[in-house]
Amino acid sequence: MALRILFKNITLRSGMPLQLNNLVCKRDSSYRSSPIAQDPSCYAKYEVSSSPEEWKFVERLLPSTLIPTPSDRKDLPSGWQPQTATFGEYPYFVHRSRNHMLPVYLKVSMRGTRRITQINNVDGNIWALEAAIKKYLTRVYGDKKIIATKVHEVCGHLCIHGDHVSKVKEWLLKKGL
Amino acid sequence: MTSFTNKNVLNLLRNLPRLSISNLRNNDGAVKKNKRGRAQHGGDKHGHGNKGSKARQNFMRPGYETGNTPFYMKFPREQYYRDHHVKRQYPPLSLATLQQMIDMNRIDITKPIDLSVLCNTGLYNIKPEDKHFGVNLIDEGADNFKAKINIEVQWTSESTIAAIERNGGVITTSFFDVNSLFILINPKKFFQRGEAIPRRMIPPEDAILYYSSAANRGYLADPEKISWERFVLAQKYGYKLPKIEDDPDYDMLVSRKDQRQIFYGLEPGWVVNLKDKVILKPTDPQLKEFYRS
Repeated sequence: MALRILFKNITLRSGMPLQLNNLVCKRDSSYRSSPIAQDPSCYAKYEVSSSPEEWKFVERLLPSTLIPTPSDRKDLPSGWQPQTATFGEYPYFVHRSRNHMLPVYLKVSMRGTRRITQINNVDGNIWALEAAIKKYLTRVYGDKKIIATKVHEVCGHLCIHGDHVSKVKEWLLKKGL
Repeated sequence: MTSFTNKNVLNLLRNLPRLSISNLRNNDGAVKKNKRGRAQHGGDKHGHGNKGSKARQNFMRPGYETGNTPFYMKFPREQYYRDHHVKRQYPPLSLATLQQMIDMNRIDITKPIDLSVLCNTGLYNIKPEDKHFGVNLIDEGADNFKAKINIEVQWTSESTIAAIERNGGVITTSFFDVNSLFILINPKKFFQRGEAIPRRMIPPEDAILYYSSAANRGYLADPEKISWERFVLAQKYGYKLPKIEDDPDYDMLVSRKDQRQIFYGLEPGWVVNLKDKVILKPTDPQLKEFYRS
C-alpha cells in the first residue's frame, strides 16, 4: 500500500507560521485521503426514496440482536423439545444453553483416544445428578462398561468417561430438562 | 502455657492482617510453567526420555513408511485431489439443521430464505476468503423435513430438491461472485459503508452449465423447463406435487431475484442509508444503463 508522508503547517499563537516535520501518513487507497465532498451538483443525479415498502426489504436483512424464544410445542419435526421441568422438581437442574439447546458436549482429546461426555450448567445437587446418570448408564450397558465420572461442583460440570452424548441427551429430555 | 503468653498470641493475631487475596498463595505445582526450561532450569530431556520419535513429538502422517517410498507414491495414479485448493467450496447445511432453525424461530419462513438469512441466524457462516462460494443444502434429515419454504442455495442435490418440493416449497440454485458474497453474508456491514449495491456477476465458465440447468433448479434456467422438471421429479420420487398457484403464500413462493440482483427487492445501483432510513436511487441515464440487467 502506498504511503505518503506530508508536512503539516502549524501556526503558532503569535501568528508566526512554523513548519514542523509532523509526519502524517496518507493512504491513497483510502477514501479518507480523498478531498472533502463538493456541492451535490458536481455528482451524478439521484432521487431519495423513503418508501416504507422498500425499507421492509432492508429491515429483513438486518440481523436480530436477540435470540428468539422458541415455540413451546412438543411435537416439532426436528425433534427439539422445550424445557418442561421446573427448578426444584428434582434435587438437581440442568439449564439450557443460550441457544435453548441441551448443554451436553463430547470432548475429544489425546489425539482422539480420550472421549469425555461433559454436562454443563448443572445447578443444585450435582452429586444427585451424578448418581442418577450413573445408575441409568449402568442399566443401559450392564457390566460391559465402567462408568467413570468426574464432578466439578464449583463450575457445575459433570464429566463422564466415554461417548454417551446421545444417551445422556435422551435421558435429560425424558426428564423434561 | 501461661495466660501472659496467651494474651500476647491473641494480640499478635489481632494485629496480623486478615486473610485476603493479597496474602494467599497457590499450592505447590498448581501453576504449570508454560516454558521449556533451559540448562540448569530444568533443561536436559524435559520429561521426554532419550531420543526417538517420542522425544520429537513425531506423529507420522498417514501413509508414511519411515524412509521407504510410500505405497501411495510408488505407482502412477490419477490425481483426484489435484487443484483442490483452487476449487470452489460449498460448506454443507443439512435439512435437519434447517428444520431445527425453523422450529426454534431462528428463520422466518413467511419470507424467502437466502444466504443472508442463514448467516444472520448466527448458526451458519461461510468464509469467501477460504474459497467458500455459498451453502450446499444436503439431504440429511429429508424424511423429517416438513416446512414450506422458498429457499435460494448455491449447491444442492436431487433428493434435497424433492424433499422441499414435496412440502410445496421452492428451491433455486444461484451463483454469487466473491464480491457479492461478502456483501450477502453481512448486509449490515455493507450498508454502513455507504456504497452503491453492485451488480451480481454471471457464473464462471465451468459453473454456467450447472446454474442454467432446470434439473438443478438453476437461476438461469427457463421457468417453463423448471416446472416440467418439478413434475418429472414428483413422478420419480412418487409424491403429489402441491400446486403453487392455489397456495395462500403464492407471492412469497414465486419471489425470485434477478440475475444481477444481490438482495430481494433492492436493485443494483441503489445506496441504502441506515441512519436516515432512506434509499438513494441514481437517475443519471448513464448510470441507469450501467446497472440495467
